Amino acid sequence: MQATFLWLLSSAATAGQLTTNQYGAELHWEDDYVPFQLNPGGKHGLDHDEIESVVVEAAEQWRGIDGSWLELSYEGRTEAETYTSGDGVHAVFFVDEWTDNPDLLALTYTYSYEDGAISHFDIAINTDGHSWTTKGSEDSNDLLNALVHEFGHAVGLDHSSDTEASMFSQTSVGEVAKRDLAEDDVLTYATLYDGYFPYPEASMGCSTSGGSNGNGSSVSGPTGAGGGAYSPFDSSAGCSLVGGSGQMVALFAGLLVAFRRRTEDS
Amino acid sequence: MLLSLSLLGAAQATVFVSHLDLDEIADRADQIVIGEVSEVTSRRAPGGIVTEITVDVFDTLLGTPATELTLTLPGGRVFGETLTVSGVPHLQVGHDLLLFLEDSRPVSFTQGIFFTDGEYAYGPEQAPVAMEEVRRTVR
Repeated sequence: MQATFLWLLSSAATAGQLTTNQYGAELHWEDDYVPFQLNPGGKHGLDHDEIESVVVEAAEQWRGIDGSWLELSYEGRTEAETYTSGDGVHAVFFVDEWTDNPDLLALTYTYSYEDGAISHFDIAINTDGHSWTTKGSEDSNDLLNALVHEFGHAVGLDHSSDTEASMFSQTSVGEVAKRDLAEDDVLTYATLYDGYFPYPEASMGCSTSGGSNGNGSSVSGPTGAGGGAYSPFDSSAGCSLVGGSGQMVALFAGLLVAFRRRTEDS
Repeated sequence: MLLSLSLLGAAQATVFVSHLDLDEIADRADQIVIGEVSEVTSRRAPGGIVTEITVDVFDTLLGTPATELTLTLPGGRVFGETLTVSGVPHLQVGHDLLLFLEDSRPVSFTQGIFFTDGEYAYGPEQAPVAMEEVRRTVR
């Protein structure tokens, strides 16, 4: 029994990392509604409508995780093209004159408060010497492949050492394998958002008492970081009370992904 | 050793850019130095926040000898507002570094930034490298 339990825990371990800010706090969204916009302009030669579709699809990868309460919502086009929090627009934009290191394909800029709560993000795509494709061309960088990765940063994930994960730090021209989230991405996401459910009692209609946050303390409602153990993956039950740890939630998420992949393969 | 590995493992890697191995990083570098972070200062810059990291140089393995240099990396903390840029490590005063620089910037964004405990160097997505080997390779 003990061996089984240990195996379960080790199986749920992720190669993915969470991003921390300069205060050491894990970045996370506390608002469930996160709007973003697209500035499709730039010398990339891509069709603006196709870019728009790709951007929405990339965000949908994270938004579409079963039970995820984080709603990345596309709000149309913008003229914004700077990584500043002052404009109030969470923007995806292209940079024709890239001043950071030319080896970079894209950068995600994330503003946060001391407790790690994200207040703003922007995603910059480098078109200065890098070609992009929305059609999976082998001789260009795939925009969807890259944006799934960058939106992962925007929700608080750092890089993963799992080479199959979308959050793996490196890519190559023509790669499309990271368009879909891997198990490790979902597990890491679950670890991060296990404790951040904004409206559990009102919207889920269940009691939260008696749960555990994985640190041995009782949970009596949603809190911020390190709070309740709501599973973002248990949507079918109407409420997502989990009496175990975040690792068990992550394990469930991993099994769900594995099951889906098998179903798709068959 | 395990402790330092796990701590240094938190240092982030590059951002969605082709991976370079140590030989490639060394080949691209025009200056390689060993030093210690002596000052970290963040400031607002057009469009965001940048951090200037002053490094006291102990040893120059390649390029123009230096006693001090300054790196400017995106991200930082100004008056409670924090900008985190994916892939940029949080360098702090006292960190010992092995730096591979190209045009005064770390090679390939942050791939040229290695932490060192004097015996080994730990780079993003790199196996630990013995400093002796680094010195042998460069000189």
